[in-house]
Amino acid sequence: MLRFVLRRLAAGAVLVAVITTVTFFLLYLSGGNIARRILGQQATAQTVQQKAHELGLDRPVLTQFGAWVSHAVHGDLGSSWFTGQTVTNAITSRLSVTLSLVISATVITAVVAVVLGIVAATRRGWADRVVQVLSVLGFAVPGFLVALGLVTLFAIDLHWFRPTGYTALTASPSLWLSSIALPVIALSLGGIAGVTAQIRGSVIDALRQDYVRTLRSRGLSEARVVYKHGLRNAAGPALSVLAVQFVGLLGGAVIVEEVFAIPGLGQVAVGATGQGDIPLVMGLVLATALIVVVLNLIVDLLQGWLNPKVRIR
Amino acid sequence: MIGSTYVYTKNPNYWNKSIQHYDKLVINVYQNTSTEVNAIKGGQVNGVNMIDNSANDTVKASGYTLYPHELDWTGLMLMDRTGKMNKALGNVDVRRAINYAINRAAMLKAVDANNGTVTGQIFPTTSPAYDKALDNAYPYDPAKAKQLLAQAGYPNGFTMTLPEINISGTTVYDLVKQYLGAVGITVSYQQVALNDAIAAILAPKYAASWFRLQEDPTAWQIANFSIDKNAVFNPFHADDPKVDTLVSTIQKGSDAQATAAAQQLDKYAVDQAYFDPWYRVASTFAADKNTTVVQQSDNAYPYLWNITPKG
Repeated sequence: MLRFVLRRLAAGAVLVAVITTVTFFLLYLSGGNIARRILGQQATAQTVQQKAHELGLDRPVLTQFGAWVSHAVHGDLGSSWFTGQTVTNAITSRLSVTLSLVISATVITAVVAVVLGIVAATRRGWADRVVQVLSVLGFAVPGFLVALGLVTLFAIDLHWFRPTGYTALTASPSLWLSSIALPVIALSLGGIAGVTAQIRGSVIDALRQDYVRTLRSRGLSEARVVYKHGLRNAAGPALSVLAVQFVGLLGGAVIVEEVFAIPGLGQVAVGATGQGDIPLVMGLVLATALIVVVLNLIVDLLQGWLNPKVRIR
Repeated sequence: MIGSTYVYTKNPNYWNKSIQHYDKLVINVYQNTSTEVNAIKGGQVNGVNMIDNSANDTVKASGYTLYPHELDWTGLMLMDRTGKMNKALGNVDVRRAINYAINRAAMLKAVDANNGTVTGQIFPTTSPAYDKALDNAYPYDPAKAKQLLAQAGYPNGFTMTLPEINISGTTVYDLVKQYLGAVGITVSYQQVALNDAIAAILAPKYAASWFRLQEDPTAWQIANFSIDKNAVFNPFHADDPKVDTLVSTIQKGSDAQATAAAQQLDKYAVDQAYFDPWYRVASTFAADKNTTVVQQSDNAYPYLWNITPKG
C-alpha cells in the first residue's frame, strides 16, 4: 500500500511538473511584450524596459523558468503584478472559500444522487421515470440560472438566506451555512443529474447479477442486498464521475461566485487570466494540479476499499 | 480580501473626529448589476455606487434613496481630426454630419433609461465655459447630415471602424450603426476587451470611438485631457493654432481673460465637432433609509465624511 501511494505521488509530481512547464512556456511565449501589456501603450520605451527588468522579463525564458521553479519549491510563488499581493496569500485566502463550496456541493451531490439513483433502480416504473426527467432537467438548466432563481426566491423574497457575501465557518457557523446554502444547491444540481444517472445504471446492473439472486435466496433483507452489496459494487463508476465533478467545480464555480459575490478562486482566476497576471495564473495552475493529484490518489484508495479486485497487492 | 472585500476600522487617533461617522467600514466589490441589486434587496448595504442605471427603479422600490450625479459625458470621440487614419473624419463637415445624424434624446432613453441630460458640449454646467445654447447646436437632422456629407465629397457615405467595448451592453453600438447607416456611414466594429480598451483608443488604433469621459471642473483640465494637441484623448495630436492660443490664455490670462477664452474654446470645439457628445450621464449613488448622503461635484463617489447615519 505504501509503495502504491508513493508511486502515485511520484507520478503526480511528474504530472504537476509537466503541467506547470507547459503553462509557463505558453504564457511567456504567447507573443507580445508583457511589460508593455502591463503598462499600456502610453508608457515610454524606457519605462517599459525598466518594468521588464524589474520583473525579470529581460532574462532568457529558460532562466526565468528556472528561477520560478527554484522559488516555487521553497514555497515562494511570487507576487501579483497588479495588486502586489503574494500569490500564496491570494490563493490560500480564497482556497478555503472555494473548497467550502466544492466539498459541500460534492457531499450533497453524493448523498442526493445515491438516494435518487437507488430509488430509480429499485422502484422502477413511475419513480424511475420521474428521476430520469429530473436528471435531464438538471443537465439542461444552466447553473447560473438556477443560482439567480434561488437567490430571488429564498434570499430576497423569503429572507431565508443571505443573497450575497461569504462568512467563514470559523467566524460564524450559522452565517457560513446561510452564505453557502444557495450557491451549493446551484452547484450541486448538474452534478446530481450526472451521478444519479450513473448510480441508477450501475445499481440496475449490479442487482441483475447472480450473486444478488443468491443473497436473496439466502433470506437477506432487500435493504441489505441493495445497500450493503449492490450499492457497494455500483459505487465505483459513480465515484469516478464524482471526482470529475469535483475538479470541474473548482474552476466552474466562477459564475456562481459572481452571482453571490463570493470571493473564491474562480473569481481571481478570471481576473488574473484577463489581466495577464502571470505569477498568479501560474500559482493557480499549480494549486489546481496539486489538488487534482491528491484527489485522484484519494479516489484510487477509495476504489480499492470498495472493490477488493482492484486493490494493489 | 483583495478584489472582493476591504474592511477598515476607525483610527482612534485621527485629528478630526467630527467627520468619523462609523467605527467600521466594509467595502464589498460587486462585479455586476444583478449581484449589486441582490445585495440591496437583501438589505446588505447601507450605500452603493450603482454600476449602471438599469436597476434604478428596482433599487428605489426597495426603499433606497437615489442620489444622481452627472460627472461624465457620453457620445463619440471623433479623434482623427486631421484624417490620418480615416480621411473622411479629417473634414469638419463630416464630423458635423455625424453630430446631426444621431438622435441624442433617443440615445439617452434607450441606453441609460433617461438618466441624464442631453448635451452637445463636453464642458459641465458648472463650468463658466458652459453655454446652454450649444446643447442644441446639432439637433437631430439626418437630411442635414446627408447634405453635409455630400458637401464634403461623400454623397454615398464612407466606412468607419469603431471599437466595441463591453461596458454596458450592445444597445449603444446597435444604435450608432443604425443612425450613421441611415445617412450613409457604414460602421463596423472590432471587439475590444475592457482591460485593453483605453490602450487601444490611445494607441491610437481607431479613428473614433464611443466612450464615457469625465467633464472636468476647470477648462484647463478639459483642454489638457481632451482638446489640446498633447491632450490624453487627442491621440492623433491634432494641432490647431486657434486652440493653442485659447489654451494658452486659459493658462496664463487673467480670470476674465481665461473665462472668455474657455467660452470660446467650448464654442470652437463644438463648431469643429471634435466630439459628438449626446448626453451627460447620471451616475447614481443609492443609500438605505438609515443613511444620509451628500453628493459633491467632481467626484463619482461621495466622500466618506459625506456619508452619515441618520439620527
